[in-house]
Amino acid sequence: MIVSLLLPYLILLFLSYKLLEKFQSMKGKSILILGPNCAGKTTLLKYLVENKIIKNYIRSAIVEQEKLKKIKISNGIEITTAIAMTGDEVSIKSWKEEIVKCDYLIYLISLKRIVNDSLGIDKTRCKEELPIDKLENYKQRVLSDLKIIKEHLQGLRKSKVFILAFNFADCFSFYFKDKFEFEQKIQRIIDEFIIAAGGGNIIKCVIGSLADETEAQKFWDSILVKIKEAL
Amino acid sequence: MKILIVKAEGLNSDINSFHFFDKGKYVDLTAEREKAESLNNEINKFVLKAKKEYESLSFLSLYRLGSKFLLNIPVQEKDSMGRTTSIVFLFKLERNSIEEINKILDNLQEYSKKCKRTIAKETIDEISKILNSLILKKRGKRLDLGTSFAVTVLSGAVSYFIMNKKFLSIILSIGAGAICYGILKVLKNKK
Repeated sequence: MIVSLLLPYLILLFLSYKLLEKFQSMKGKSILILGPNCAGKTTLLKYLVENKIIKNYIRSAIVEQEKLKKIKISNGIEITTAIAMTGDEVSIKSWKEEIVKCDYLIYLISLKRIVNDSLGIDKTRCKEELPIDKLENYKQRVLSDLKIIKEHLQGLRKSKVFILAFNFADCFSFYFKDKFEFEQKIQRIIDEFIIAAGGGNIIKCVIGSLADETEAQKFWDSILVKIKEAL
Repeated sequence: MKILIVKAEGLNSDINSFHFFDKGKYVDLTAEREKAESLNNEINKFVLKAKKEYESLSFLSLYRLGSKFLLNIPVQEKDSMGRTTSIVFLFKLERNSIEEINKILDNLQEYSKKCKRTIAKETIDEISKILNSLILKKRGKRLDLGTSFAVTVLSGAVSYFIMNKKFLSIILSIGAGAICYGILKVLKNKK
């Protein structure tokens, strides 16, 4: 008898709990990580989930979605989901739907593939040999991606935070000597990408590296600062 | 059992190093690039909707949505950057039988050969283990649901017979069914 009397209250309690949970999830925001192959999308995603840099690499063949331990942006706003799309060319068409859905967009670019050797690539850190024609192909690919993203963003009513994150700065010894001067020196190269993506009013820029946990945390902190600035 | 889509990740940025199969039919990327793009889109949509059932340290993963499954299998071929590549299978199970699983394993090897990719023997064994345990789990879940339903009906009938109150009997029987399902679930987790 007691059970039957208590049951409606228990059901009501459960329903209110579910409603509260749904309300809370409404303030959770999502980030979308895009970029060409080998830009560090999976590495950043896994870092956000595990706070660890994975050393074992796989070329992602499918999109990856992870629930995050709520990352607070401001009062009542938290990042709760992160999605990393695949970087191969056959995947670009599937980006549109996710660009529309996400709140914050991060496009990762590998600096070692767009900055020439004049800034001194540290061969001990960057063993990969990149011929000039491959570098040019990479640059064209990135410019074309940014153009596509810009087009997708233009049609949207709700404005999104769009960040260009330049990864692999650790491949340049100069980066560790004087970060500020390093940024000044590559500004001209970066500008070309900012313009392609829609200009400095829309795009925020971050330079950093995912070489280890310390560098990754600094990189992610700078991204968060830019997101907060944009809000 | 039906293999719906097969995608072998490219070994370099060249589009021709990718391989796609649509319901068993090879998709020629130079002539049917849009088709390959839509198949890729379908795979991504599936992953975003589905539940990740399994992921190993060797990057083998399994996603499930209803009777459809997606396996992301690491292969022995590396890309130009030295990273492990993978082959993706989207398939549908119809009868959830051991024979069906064996048929899938044969298909995985057959398609990987067609895509010039090699799945390690240990990976095949791992896939067989995961699929078998998943089917057993599914069967177990059905059994639990069946038992709980029987308890619901029985307790409803008995309580109505004793109290002769319809609403109360319904509430009681639902409660009994839920408790029964909960107990069965806890017992299974303990095992």
